[in-house]
Amino acid sequence: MMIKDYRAITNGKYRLVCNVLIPIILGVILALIDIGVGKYYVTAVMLGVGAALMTAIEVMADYWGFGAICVKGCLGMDYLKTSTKGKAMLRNALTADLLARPARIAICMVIVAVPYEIMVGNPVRLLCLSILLTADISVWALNITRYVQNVQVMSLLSMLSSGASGAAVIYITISSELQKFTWLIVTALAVLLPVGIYVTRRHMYCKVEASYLDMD
Amino acid sequence: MNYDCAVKGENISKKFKTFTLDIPDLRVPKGFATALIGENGAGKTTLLNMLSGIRLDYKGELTFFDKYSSEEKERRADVKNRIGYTGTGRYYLPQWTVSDVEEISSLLFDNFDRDEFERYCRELAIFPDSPNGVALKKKCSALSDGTRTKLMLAGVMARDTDLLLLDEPASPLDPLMRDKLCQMIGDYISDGAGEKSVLFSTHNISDMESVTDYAIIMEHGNVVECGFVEDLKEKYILIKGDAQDAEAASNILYTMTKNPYGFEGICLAENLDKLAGMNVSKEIPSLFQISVAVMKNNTKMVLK
Repeated sequence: MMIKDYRAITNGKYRLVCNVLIPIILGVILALIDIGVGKYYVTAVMLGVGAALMTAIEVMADYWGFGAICVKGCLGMDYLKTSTKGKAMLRNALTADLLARPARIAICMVIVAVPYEIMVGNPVRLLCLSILLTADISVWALNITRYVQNVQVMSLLSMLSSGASGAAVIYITISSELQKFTWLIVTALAVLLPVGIYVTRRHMYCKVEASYLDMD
Repeated sequence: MNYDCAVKGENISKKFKTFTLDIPDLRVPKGFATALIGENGAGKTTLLNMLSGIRLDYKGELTFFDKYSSEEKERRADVKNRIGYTGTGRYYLPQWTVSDVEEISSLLFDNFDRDEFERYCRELAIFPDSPNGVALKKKCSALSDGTRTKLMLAGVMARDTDLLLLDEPASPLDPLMRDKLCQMIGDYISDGAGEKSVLFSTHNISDMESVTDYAIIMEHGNVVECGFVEDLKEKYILIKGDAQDAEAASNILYTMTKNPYGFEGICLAENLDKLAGMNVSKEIPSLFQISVAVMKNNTKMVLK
């Protein structure tokens, strides 16, 4: 039911691009570069680049799916409100989108990490870091980006967040001081992710409820 | 005249910063087409939003089909599905196509009939194989206002409803489609055999008069006049007279327009005897003339 509602509310192109094309294309490109170079630090850079690109796309692509849903009157909800199922449909679509984010980020990053595992060894530490950091930013950023109506502001936010995530992955990986804390950081990010999903879901649900009120 | 009500409202009120909707008594008769008439900003859309469930923050009691409160209506799909609504705001998600609307309507409403929807789309020339067709994959945001309105009407007409709430359905439509809309409303009412009702807001009183049975006239958030059209046409009389009597008549007529040759205005039937002695002719006014007279008498606009 959730998947059906997710499909009903979101655009087919949005689902195809975000859930299929981007993970495949990005993963293949990064894997090819990785194979070509084959050094530890460059692999860390590749995962960092992967995190940066995924973050930028996640932040920007949401604009096509849900737009500025938190801005009053921005989302065309009147038709949904004329049915007792409309609110539930929208909520299901919002929840499904939140759950899909870490899944597709994980798939993309795993594709990038495959050559690293073949050539150097266990990439789990790096992989978990890049997946969780990107997923956390992708989810938590929605609490800000879903208020943005202007596409230029959205582009700026996606560039800033992508730079931050990419730099964080690379720096944590190659920094001798932070390397020993990597698993602690990964654990914190792992805790933050379900919290972020819950908080964002509640926030979005509140906005859906608020759309029934005329707050002057 | 005794009648059942499709919708009854008591002490309905909603406050905004610069506007207050205040309706102590609202009745929408069952089995008839009711026109909700008023100036821009009178509160017509606000009222329709409250009745359709798009806005839930208001005070007062609403009763639907003589039985169900507003809370029950919102909770029970079997009641809410009996009400169809078309609006002027952001009705559909902008990326939805015509075929998306069909798919989503079947998910949202148990009483949605796909065959009926396609039939209405063909009748209203929304499908691609019709002479003025629109591609099925065309996004709602790319449709003209008139075509989008036709799509909304096809969507509500394809459902088995007992009450239609239509917000300005005629405004974006061409004259031919307005005539078609009147026909659709007329058929909807007559097919319902007294059980189906329509409440529509309109600025195009002249175009919609042929299908209007009952009128509710609003100004500044209040209902200033209401009644069956035939009763209103007995309550108000159109008076035409000579210029020499204009001065005397201006104190009696409800509203008046004058020129060098004469005057014309609406008079309350109860004041007709006050015109005795003047050379005047009496006619039955149109709903348009009655509405304009009532609105003029209650407007805050500066009229010269």
